[in-house]
Amino acid sequence: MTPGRQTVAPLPLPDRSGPAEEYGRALEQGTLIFQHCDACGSVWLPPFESCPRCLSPEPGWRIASGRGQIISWVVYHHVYHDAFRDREPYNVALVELDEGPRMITNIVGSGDRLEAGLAVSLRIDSEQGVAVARFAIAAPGPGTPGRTQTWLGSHRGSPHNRKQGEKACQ
Amino acid sequence: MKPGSVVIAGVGRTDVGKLPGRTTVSLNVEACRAALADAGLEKERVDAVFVKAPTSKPEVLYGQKVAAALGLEPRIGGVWDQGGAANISMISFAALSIEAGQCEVALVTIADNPRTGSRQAYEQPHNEDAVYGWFGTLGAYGMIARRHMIEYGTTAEHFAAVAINSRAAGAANPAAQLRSPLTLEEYLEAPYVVDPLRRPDCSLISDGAAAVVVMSKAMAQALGVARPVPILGFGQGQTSIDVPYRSSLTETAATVSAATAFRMAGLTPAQIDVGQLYDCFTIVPIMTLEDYGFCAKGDGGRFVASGAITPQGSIPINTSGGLLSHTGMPGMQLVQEGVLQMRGSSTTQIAGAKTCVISNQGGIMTTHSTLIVGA
Repeated sequence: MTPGRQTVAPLPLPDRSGPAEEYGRALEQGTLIFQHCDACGSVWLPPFESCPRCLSPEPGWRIASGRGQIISWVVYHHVYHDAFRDREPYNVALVELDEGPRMITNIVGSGDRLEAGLAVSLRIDSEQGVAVARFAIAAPGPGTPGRTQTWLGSHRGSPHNRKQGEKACQ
Repeated sequence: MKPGSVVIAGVGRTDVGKLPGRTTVSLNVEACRAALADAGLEKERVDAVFVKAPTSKPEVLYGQKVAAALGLEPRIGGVWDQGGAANISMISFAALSIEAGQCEVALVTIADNPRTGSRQAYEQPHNEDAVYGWFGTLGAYGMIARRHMIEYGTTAEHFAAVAINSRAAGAANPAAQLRSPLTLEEYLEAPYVVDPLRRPDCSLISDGAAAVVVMSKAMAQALGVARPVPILGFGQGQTSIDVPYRSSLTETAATVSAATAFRMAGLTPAQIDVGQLYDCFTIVPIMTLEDYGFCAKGDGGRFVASGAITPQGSIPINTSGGLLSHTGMPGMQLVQEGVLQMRGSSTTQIAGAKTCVISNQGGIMTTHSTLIVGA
C-alpha cells in the first residue's frame, strides 16, 4: 500500500480524546510513546486511564525507541471501508515494540517480504493531517534488548519465548 | 450439581439461510414452539426464558420482548451477552437455577438475522485502529491463524481438513444451508478474503433461530419427556483482552472452560465419543482440540489432517456441518446436534456415541463455554 495516496473516501481517523490524547500529541511531534506504571513497572498500549495490571491511576509515559518486530500479519483482499478501495490488497501487522507493548500497524514498502520476527522501525505518516505510526522493515542490526514485563496475561507464556509444542495442553 | 441431574428435554429450530421479512422475536417464538413440541410440553410449564442477544439489531430489554411474544411472565428472564458463548452459558445458568429452586423449566433461545438484516457487527473497525484498515472478525481470526502457522507449522492443508470435514457433514444434512462437499483442490484454489483465510475457512452468514428446553431429570421423568439428554458438565472461560494485546495469540481461556466441564462431568477427553466444536473459522476447532486436550498444544493442524475428526476418526466433530456448512448461527446448532447424537438421530450419526462435548465461543476467542452431554 502507499500511505498518503489519494483515496476514494476519507480514512477512518482515530479518536484521540481521553487517554489517547497524550499519545496523539506526541505522535504529531514525531515521537511514539507508550504507557508506563510507576507503581508496578508495567508497560502497555493502547492507552488506558489506569494501570490494567495494578490498577494505579494516572500512569506515566515512556518514549519508544521505534524498533520492534513482527508478531503476526494479515493481508486484506476484501474492502470493509471505501477508503481502502484503491489500497487493497494491504497488510495489517501486529508489531511488538522492543520495550514490550504491542500495536496494530501497517508495514510499508514490504512487498511480499513479511515474516515473523522481522525487525521493523517506526515511520510516522500524516493521513489527512493526523499523525499515524507505521513501520518499515529495518536494516539488519544488533539484536533487540530484553523485554520489559507487560501487564498482559502473566499466567501465560510469551509465544516467541516458547519452543514449539513445548507446553502440552490440559 | 450432580452430573445428569438436569436434562435437555427438547430442541427446536427454524429453517436457516435467508429468512426475509421475519423479526428475530418471531424467529425466537417459532424455535421455542418447536422445542416445546419436541419435549411434549405446554408453554405454561415454562418459568424461565434465557435469550441470546441478536447481533443484527441490539435492543434494550430484548429478553422481555421475547417472553412477551411467548405470552409468558417467567420468574427468570433476560439477555446474557457473551457473543456466541452465551448459548451454553445460559444453559448452565438455567441448570444451576433449576438446581437452586429458582425455576423449574427453562427455555434457552437464540435468533438472529444478519443475512437479510445487518451484519455490521461482523464488519466493524477494531477500536481506534481502523486507520490501518483493521476491520472485521476475519482480520482478527486471520492474525491468530497466521501466528499458529508461525509457531507450530500449521498449513493451509490443515485448515482445509476442517472445512472438508464440515462440508461433508453439511452435504449429508438436509437442513444445512451449504450442501456442497469440498475437495482439497477446491479449497486451495479459493481466493483469499483476508490472507491467510480463504472463503471456505469462514462461517456462513445465516438467519435463523434455535431453542432448547432445560429441566430436572426428575421433572422430565414425571412429565414423561420422551428423549431427555442429560447434562454432564459445563464450564466457562474468558480471555477478555483484545487480540493484539494478548501475550499469546494461540492460547485461549478454552483450556479453563474445558477443564471445568471435564472435572464436573468426571470425564477425560479420551472418554468423549463425538464433538461439536465452534467453527466460525477453521483455525478455531484446531485450537479448541488442543485446548481441550484431544491433542498436544500446537499439534491441532496435524491432528485434524490425520483424519481424527472424521466420522471414522477418534473424535469425530461437527456432524451437522457446524458454522461452516450447516448454519452460521453462533452456536446453538452445535448444542442441538450434540443432543441429536446422544439420541442417535443425527444425519451423520456416530454409532454407539454416549458422550458429546460441545464448545461455544464469542468475540475473537474472547469468551468460551463448554457443555458435555451424555446418552
